[in-house]
Amino acid sequence: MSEPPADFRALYDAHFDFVWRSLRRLGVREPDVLDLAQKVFLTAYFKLPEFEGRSLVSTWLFGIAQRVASDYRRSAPVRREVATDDAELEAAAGDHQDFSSESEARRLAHAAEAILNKLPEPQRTVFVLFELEEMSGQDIATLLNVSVGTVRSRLRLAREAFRREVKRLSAGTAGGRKEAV
Amino acid sequence: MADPQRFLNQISDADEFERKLLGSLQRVQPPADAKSEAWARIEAQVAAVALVSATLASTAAAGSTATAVASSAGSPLTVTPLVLKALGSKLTLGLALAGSVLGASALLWTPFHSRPAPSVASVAPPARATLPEPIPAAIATEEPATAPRIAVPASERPAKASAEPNASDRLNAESALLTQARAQLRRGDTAEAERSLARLRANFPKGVLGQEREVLAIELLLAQGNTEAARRRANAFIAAHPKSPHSPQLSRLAGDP
Repeated sequence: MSEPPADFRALYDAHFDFVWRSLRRLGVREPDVLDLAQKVFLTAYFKLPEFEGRSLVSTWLFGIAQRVASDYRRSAPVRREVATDDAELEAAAGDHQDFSSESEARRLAHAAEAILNKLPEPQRTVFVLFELEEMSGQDIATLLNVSVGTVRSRLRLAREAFRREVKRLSAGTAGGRKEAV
Repeated sequence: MADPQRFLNQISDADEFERKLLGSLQRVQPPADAKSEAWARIEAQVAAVALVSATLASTAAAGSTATAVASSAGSPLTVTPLVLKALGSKLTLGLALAGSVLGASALLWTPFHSRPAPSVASVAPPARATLPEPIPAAIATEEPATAPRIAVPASERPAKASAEPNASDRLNAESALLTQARAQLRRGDTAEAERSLARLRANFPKGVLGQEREVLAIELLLAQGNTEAARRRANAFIAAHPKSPHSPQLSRLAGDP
């Protein structure tokens, strides 16, 4: 049986976690991430001869992951199931004053994902690339084929929306705590 | 103009909760076995595409219907991305076909215990092909609804007058029957799935998709509640195909108490 060449395996080993994380951050639900990661690497495998080395491999893979995640998010069943509902968001966040345990950390991450799911896709992508992948505005602009000004504008809007949602979440969970007392 | 400070940076104007919420995303990591599982699937798909592409290339170039399949089965086929790219339109067809072909093995990756149950199956041991079998007329005419719809360029279609189906036709028919068996198993119709697998074994005893057929047969045994037989068959499969991309998953089944 034919196997992918060893250098592709090395690329896969070095970047699998990155691609998996990126897909999650781009709004892919956990049960679907493995399928989509597979899709990203298969695409990379067949497009490898076209990769000209003008960007980092990770940047190139992120571009593929972004397109795959975008198609995924446009599909109707996913749109219905992605968590953006306020009650779900607050349930995910729980009491944010106590996030020392592993389960609390997971709940916080779910809450953060739910907030990201509320952002329009172009804003979300820029936000993830800048805040979590720590790419520069210029690199993001190159990757997305937009101007740096557009990147900054999307980042500003995404940050405003993120802060708005966090504030709402804080108010909601604080209110919940008062009622409980 | 410089980029703003990142929220996660302590000197940014983000407050503590905003940073902690955002920072929680950095701790999200893939499950331990995710990498190996995804790699097994990728290997299987690359292998299937290579096999199909080689079959089509030999069919189109030499008019010899079985050369590429025979050579790929006899010795490992080395297909690089460049080679696949060079196959051009044939690769497109290959990918489309591989998608339908691998749909059959995709069932393997869903949890074994989530399958439906009852009765017994008897399906042949795995057989990797050297030459594809001729298409039985019954299959070619009985399964139009499930046969993959693949747009084959006119130049690659067999002449209508030709009585001998080519390798691509045979693979299509085998794939269609396998896809049908898988769909039947997925919807819980184990009796029909068993019949389809029996037809596969009878009509394509040395089929190109022999491994996939055997994996599906093992899944059928599980669905029927015949765990011991499934485990025996899984062990036999692993012994016969230790390097198969299906073997790691089957190993887990074989190792389960």
